[in-house]
Amino acid sequence: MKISNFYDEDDMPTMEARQRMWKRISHSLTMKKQAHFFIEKRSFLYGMVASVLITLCGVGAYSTVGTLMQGGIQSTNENKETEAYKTAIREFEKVVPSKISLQSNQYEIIQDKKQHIAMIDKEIDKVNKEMSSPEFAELRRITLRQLYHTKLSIILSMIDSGEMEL
Amino acid sequence: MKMSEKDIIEKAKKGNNKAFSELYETHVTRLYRFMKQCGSRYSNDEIEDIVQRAFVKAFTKIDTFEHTSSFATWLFRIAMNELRSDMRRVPLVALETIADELYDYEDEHADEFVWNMAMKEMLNEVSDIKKSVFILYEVEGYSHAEIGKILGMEESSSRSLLTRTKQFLRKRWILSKEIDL
Repeated sequence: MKISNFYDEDDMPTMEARQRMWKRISHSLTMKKQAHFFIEKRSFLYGMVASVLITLCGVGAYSTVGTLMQGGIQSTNENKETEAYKTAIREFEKVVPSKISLQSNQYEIIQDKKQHIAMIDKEIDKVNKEMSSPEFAELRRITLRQLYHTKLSIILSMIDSGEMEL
Repeated sequence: MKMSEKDIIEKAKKGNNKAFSELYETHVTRLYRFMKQCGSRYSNDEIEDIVQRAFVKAFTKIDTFEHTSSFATWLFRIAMNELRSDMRRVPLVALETIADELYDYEDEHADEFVWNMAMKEMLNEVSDIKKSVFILYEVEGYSHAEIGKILGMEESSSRSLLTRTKQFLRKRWILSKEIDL
């Protein structure tokens, strides 16, 4: 037979204790859900970037083959590659809000990175303006691609380290 | 019509907050009072912490719950694991000496056991595992198979620990009466 009078009043949780525990449990569950959502969103972004990079590789390979086939004649595919970089960054900036976390204790590092991105943007503008001149056109195209590549890397590193709010 | 616990669990698996709340309301008192007895060295705040951790763990992993036991059995097991992980940080107090000495006596009335409220205090003299088995069987009404699942032991071990605890309580009760006289 079960012992029915084993527990006394002191063994029971008070109403306040029950509410307190539930509040903490709900909070933990919400936090876990948000973390899960964040990871999924980040996976989506990585997937998107990966697909862009695969496209870029494809365009790059196509461009190389085209150049070889045409005996070194400059192909417009390189321009397409640069355009693809630009599109990637533009699309990325659309998906990732430009809001930077002010609560981060790495505020100065974030500011440095923002300045770095601004400098790259300035350089991109400069090179773009000089593109109309036929002199060193190939060199400028390479420089432009490198600038876009660096900018994309910085954005990715900021998302990865949580410096950019998603 | 009131939903069955199985239906509530299925809803909880889909992330329904009301289902989580219902499961909490159904089981919190039973779990809390049991943990308070098993973790009698802990403060109310610490017991609250263990109970709440057990619920969070259960709710987070609810999609792995396959109804092979009752939800309460599963929840109690999670809570016991939480308590044990805490106990690894807090050294256990040796409480077995008195109990083990009493087991050495021959007891021809081993099967005779009548509960007395004074025995509740005496239960603090046995180990947490024996106390847990006793409360789960005699108070909470779990079977030895279920206790085995909750405490991670063989069903036969649960039977044996219960018998020994009852023997101890009976002898300890007789001893206390003799001292009073």
